[in-house]
Amino acid sequence: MTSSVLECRALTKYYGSTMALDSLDLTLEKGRIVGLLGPNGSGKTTLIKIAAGLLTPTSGTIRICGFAPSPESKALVSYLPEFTYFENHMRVRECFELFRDFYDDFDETKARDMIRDLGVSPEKRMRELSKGMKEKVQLVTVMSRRSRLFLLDEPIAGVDPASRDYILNTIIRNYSEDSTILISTHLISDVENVLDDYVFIRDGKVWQTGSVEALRENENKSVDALFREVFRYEVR
Amino acid sequence: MKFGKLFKHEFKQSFRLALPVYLGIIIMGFVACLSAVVFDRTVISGNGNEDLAGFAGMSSMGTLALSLTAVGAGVVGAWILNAVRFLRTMTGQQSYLTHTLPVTADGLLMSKILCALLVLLGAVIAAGIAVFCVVMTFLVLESTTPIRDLIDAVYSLVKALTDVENLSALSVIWSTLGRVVMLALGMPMLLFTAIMAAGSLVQKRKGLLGAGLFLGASAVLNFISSLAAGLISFLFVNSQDVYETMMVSSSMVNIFLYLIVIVAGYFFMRWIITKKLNVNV
Repeated sequence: MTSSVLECRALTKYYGSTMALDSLDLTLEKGRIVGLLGPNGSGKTTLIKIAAGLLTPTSGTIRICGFAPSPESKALVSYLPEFTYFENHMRVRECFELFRDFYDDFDETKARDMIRDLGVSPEKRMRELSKGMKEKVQLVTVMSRRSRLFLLDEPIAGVDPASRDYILNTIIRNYSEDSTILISTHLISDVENVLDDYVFIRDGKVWQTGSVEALRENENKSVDALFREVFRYEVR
Repeated sequence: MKFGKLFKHEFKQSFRLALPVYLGIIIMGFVACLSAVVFDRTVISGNGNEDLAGFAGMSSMGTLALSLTAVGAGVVGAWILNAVRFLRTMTGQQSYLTHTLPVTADGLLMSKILCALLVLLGAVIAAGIAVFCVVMTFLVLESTTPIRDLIDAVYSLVKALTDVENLSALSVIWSTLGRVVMLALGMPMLLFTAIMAAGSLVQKRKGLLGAGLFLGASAVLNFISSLAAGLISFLFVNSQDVYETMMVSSSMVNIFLYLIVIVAGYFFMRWIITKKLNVNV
């Protein structure tokens, strides 16, 4: 099995005449927590959606553990979108059952333990939960898989600081050395401490990549400071 | 086996919504029966008070008409439920879950089409029960010995349905039934294709255009194949036998074309899911 979990070569995506990804090349190795960082409209969500199988690229290739987007690749990817995708009438228990049925790597016991810690009954319906609680239930469900690649699209956007801590702790607690976590966010200072690597993306291209630790040691900079420096003139 | 699991979840979620509709259809059927009884007792049997009979008769007939309309609306409602569910799970927010499940496009489509057909079949059965009850109520009300007349009525109905005097008439019945069945099978496919094309392609205008062209072409095909034989017969043929033969053969062509449209629709949706999927909520 290849050690690269995600491999993109000349990945291009157009929405009509608008280019979202411009011949993007990127390789992610296993066992890393990677921040996918860039200004609005830089192509972060498009890249994540292509990797999750929600969009088909216009050209170029993408491989997840050697597989092109397919049922095989989807079985290895755990995707958390920006909003909740469970049907409102579903009970929390039914969300778990759905994941248990379709994903062999779903750990239902872990999910039930985490949901108990949140104080949510498995019999509760999604519509009975607050927006924040729905997002947490979805995060718990997604992170209770032993996936090779976790794709988290803006997991801490629009939540209060306490919830941010809960979300980041959940991500770190469920991280294993066999998996890679790709986190897309604008809130760099909040996630910086959990990141191993960063990927700056701009106008659909990878602008800069590197190790967070190396950046701190060699240039004595934080990722947040570097981001501000790189994207100083980026006004959208 | 992922198809079994897909079907299980789809069936559970679809019938959770459809069961109240079925119940509503059957209740409306009973309301119609009750209205028929009230009408019979107040107008047909008479009670000596003409004003009361007139008022009760009008209101009971109104209720009967409304409840029978509601039975039909229930079947249409089952259709709408299918369409809305398909739209939400394939192109709406929930599609982010649907399209990230590790399942094939064929499994996904087949589970949805099969469940949609079952939901429709359920609605048709419920409506059939409701209408049957109303018909039987009318038949029974005409007699003084309800049980014996009920048996007679069922016997007459079965006899009327099976006592076909010649092959041409039988062929016409079968061709009509064939058209109805093909319509029932084909419509979910056409509907889903339209929604899929409209909602999933990147450029919405192109998607709508594609859906419009597909539906338009299938409607034209259907129209031509349905009417061609009748028009030719009307203009050029005087023999009844030839006319009936043409109607039967046209219905076969009609069914064949419909099958082509269904298969084309299936592969069109499959192509969108595997090659052109663009879920953007």
